[in-house]
Amino acid sequence: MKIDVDKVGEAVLVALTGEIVSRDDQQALTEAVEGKLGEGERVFVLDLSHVPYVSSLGIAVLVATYVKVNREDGKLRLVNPRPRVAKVLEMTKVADIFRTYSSVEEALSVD
Amino acid sequence: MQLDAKNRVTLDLCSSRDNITRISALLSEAFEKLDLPEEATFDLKLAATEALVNAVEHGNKYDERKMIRVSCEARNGAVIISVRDEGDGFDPAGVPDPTLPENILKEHGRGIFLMRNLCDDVCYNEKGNEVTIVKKIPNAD
Repeated sequence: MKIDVDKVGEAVLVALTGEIVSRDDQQALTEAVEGKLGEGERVFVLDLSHVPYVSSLGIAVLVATYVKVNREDGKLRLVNPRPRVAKVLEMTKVADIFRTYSSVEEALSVD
Repeated sequence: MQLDAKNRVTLDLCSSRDNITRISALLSEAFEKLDLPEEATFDLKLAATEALVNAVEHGNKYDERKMIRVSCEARNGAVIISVRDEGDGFDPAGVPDPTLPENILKEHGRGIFLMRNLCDDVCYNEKGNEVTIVKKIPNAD
């Protein structure tokens, strides 16, 4: 999995590419988010447009990221999960804890 | 790797994280060769991966001296995958429902739930160290 981190306005845009399946993927995302939280960032937009597949480990990564950001009174928004990934998030009810948007632009435009 | 007369593929492998990735990729290739619908391929790959992870992590506790046997076949309009570990087994009925509010923010505990909800049948042997997953797919043979 590839992670690209960018600051866009008030938000940190974290674009993921590839499958979220391994402990290495988990660690990479955790480090990216924790690093930015440590710098004082509090709004995160996680772009899932290019994530074709998640396992339960991938879901664990998303939940753990949500918990970390929420603990610091931050906001975590998901963008454009692919249909099958969205279905898995809905099925497990994990989708209920996130605000999900259809585009990065939309996610960046909300307060 | 063995291919028996029923066109069933059987793999014996040690319990390492690398093997989870390797076998998941091999199974994906097998599913693609069956020309399955994309949704079915996703569901089977996910269910198989969950079974493999459970066998490596919970069954064999990452002990690379312990083996996992994975078999995969397509017959009678279904894809059937079995994963067996050398662990002590467990009671699948005792696994909490990860969709309950008190469990949503837990990082783990969704593997069996996903298997059951993405496939048509998930059965454990009596000991609890072997799982068989069945996904019905027309023309899967």
